[in-house]
Amino acid sequence: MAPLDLDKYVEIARLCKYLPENDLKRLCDYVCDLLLEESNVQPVSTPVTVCGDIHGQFYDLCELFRTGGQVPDTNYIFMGDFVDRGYYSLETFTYLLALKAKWPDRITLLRGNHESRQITQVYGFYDECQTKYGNANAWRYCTKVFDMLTIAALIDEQILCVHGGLSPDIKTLDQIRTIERNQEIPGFSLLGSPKPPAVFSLLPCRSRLTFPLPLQFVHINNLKLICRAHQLVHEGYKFMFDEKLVTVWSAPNYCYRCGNIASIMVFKDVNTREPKLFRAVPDSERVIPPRTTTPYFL
Amino acid sequence: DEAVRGTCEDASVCKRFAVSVGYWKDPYIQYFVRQAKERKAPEINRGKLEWDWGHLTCYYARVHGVSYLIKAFLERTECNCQIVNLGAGMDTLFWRLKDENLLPRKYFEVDFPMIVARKIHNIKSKPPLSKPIMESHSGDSLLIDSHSLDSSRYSIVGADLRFSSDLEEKLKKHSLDVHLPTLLVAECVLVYMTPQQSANLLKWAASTFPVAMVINYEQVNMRDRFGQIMIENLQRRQCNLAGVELCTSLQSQRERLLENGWENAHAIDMMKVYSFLPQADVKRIEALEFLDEKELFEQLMQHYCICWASKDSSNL
Repeated sequence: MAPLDLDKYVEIARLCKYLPENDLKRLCDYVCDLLLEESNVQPVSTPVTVCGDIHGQFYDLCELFRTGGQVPDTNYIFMGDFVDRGYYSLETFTYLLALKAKWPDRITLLRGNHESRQITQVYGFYDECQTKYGNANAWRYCTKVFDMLTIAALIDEQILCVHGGLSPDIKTLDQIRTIERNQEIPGFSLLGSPKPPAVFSLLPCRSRLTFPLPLQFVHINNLKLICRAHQLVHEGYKFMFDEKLVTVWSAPNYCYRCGNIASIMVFKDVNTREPKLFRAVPDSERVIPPRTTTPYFL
Repeated sequence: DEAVRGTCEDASVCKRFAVSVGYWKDPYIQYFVRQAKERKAPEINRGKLEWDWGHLTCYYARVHGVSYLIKAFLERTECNCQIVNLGAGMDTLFWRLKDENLLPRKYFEVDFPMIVARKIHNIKSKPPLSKPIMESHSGDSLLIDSHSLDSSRYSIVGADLRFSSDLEEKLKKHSLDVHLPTLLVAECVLVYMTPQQSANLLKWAASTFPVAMVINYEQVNMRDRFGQIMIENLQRRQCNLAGVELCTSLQSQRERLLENGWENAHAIDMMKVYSFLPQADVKRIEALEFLDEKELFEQLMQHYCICWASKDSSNL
C-alpha cells in the first residue's frame, strides 16, 4: 500500500476541505496507531500552547493558529471538543488529525465530552458527516479515533491539562494512568444513571466545578496548575481557586451568537504563562454554509 | 416582509419537533407543518436536532408562560371575552382551548394574507382541524374563502398589522365586538415593525377596547453583544428587527405599553418565567435533555421576555 501523503492531507485540510472517504479512513487509522503509543496522561514539555474548545469553528481555528503560531513552529495541546455546534466539525477535526499525523510530537489532542458517539449524534457532527459524505462511515472512523484520544496531558510534570475537570473519585495522577481508556464514554445524564468509570468523570457533563477539589488535587500531586476547558468563558480565560485552575476557551463568538472572546494559554516554561486573546474572524473572511438554522425565536 | 413571513415556518417546525419529543402536548401542530427530518441513528434512536435542547426548553417556557396568562384572562372573564391573536401564524391555541372547554366567545387570528391563505388551506383539507370549527359553529353556513374564514367562535383575517384602520374594519366584518373584554396576543410580532408602527397598533388596541389586556413576547436586553450579533445574524437572513430599540430592557418594554394607553404594565425575562414553571415539569424536561451548557440556555432566556398590560382592569 502506498504511504500516506500527509503533506497533501494537510494542504487540503488547511483550505477547509474534507478528504475523500478512503483517505480519511487511512488518516484515522494512522492516527489511532499513533495514539496507541500515548499514555492516558501524556507527558509534554514546554514551550507549549494550551487551547480549549473549538467546536467546529474552522475559520476561528485558523485565527487561533495565526495568533499562536502555525504547527510545527508552535507546540500545541488541544483540550478536546473539536466537533459539534460549529459548521465545520468535519474539516476542523480532519485538519487537526492531519497535523497530528504529520507532526505527532508537536500537537497533543485530548478527548472532550463531545468526542463521543452519543453526543455527536445530537449536536451536529454525525449529521455533518452524513451531509458531506452521504453516509455514516466517516463518522465511524472518527469515533474510533475519539476512543483512542488521550485523557490528559502533563506539562513538565507540573501542569495538568484535561477537558472538563475533576471527579471526587480521582485523587492521584496514577489513578488516571491505570484506566483502560479505549472505549466510548459511557452514557450519562443529569439524573446520573449508571455511574461512569471514574476516569470518565474527568469529562463531566456538568460545567460547574465543585469546591475545593482542585486545590487538594494540585497539592497531592505536586502540580502548579490545572488547565481545563469545557465551560464557556466570555473573556476567553478565567483563573479560579487561588489561580490553581484556569479555564481556557478557544471558540470565539461561540455558536456564532454568544459574542465572547477566545483565548489560548502560552507556556514558555512552567513559570511563565501568557494568555493570548483572539476574536472571531469577520464574516468577510469566512464562508457561511447556505442552509443554516437560526438559533433564535422568530 | 418575505423574511418575516418566513419566520412562521421556523416557529412551526420547531414547535412540532418540541412536541414530538415530549415537551408539551399539541395534537394539532402536525397538521400545519412538515416534520423536521427524522433520522434513525445506529446506536441510539434520536431525531435530528435542528435546535438544541436549551432552545426547546426556552420554547416550552414561553408556551407555558403565555398560556398561563391567557388562561388567567379566560378565567377572570369566565370566557365572556374575545381573544385576538396578532401574527398568529400556524398557532393551534383555538383547538387546544376547545379541547379544554375554555373557548372565549370568539377567537380571532390575524396574519399576512399569504400566511392566512396557507392556514385556511390546511384547515379545509384536514378534518381534525375543520371539525372542531364546524362543531363550535352555530347558525348560517361558515364563510370561507381563500383569504378569510369566519365562523361563530373562530375567525381568521388576512391583514397587515401596520395598518390598524384596515385591521379594525376587517375584524368588525367578522363580528368583532369591541365591548367585550378582549385579550390581544403578539408573539414575536411587534419587533418586526418600526417603533412607530407598533406604537400605533398598541394605541389602536387601547383606544378601541374599553376593557382589555395585551400580551407581548419578544426580545429584550438587546443592547449587549449577544443582541448585536442576533441583529446581524438575522439581517443576513434579510430579517430586519425594525423595532429592536424598544427591546432595550424590561423597563423599556413596560414603558412602551404605558405610553400607548395601557396600564399596569409588567415585563419579566424568560429566566424568571422558567423559575415559575412547576417543578414537576422542570424535572421532566431536564430528564429529556443534555442540559450541559446552561450558559447558552441562560443567555438565550435572558434575551426574551413576556410583557403584559391591561386596561380598566377593575372590570377584569
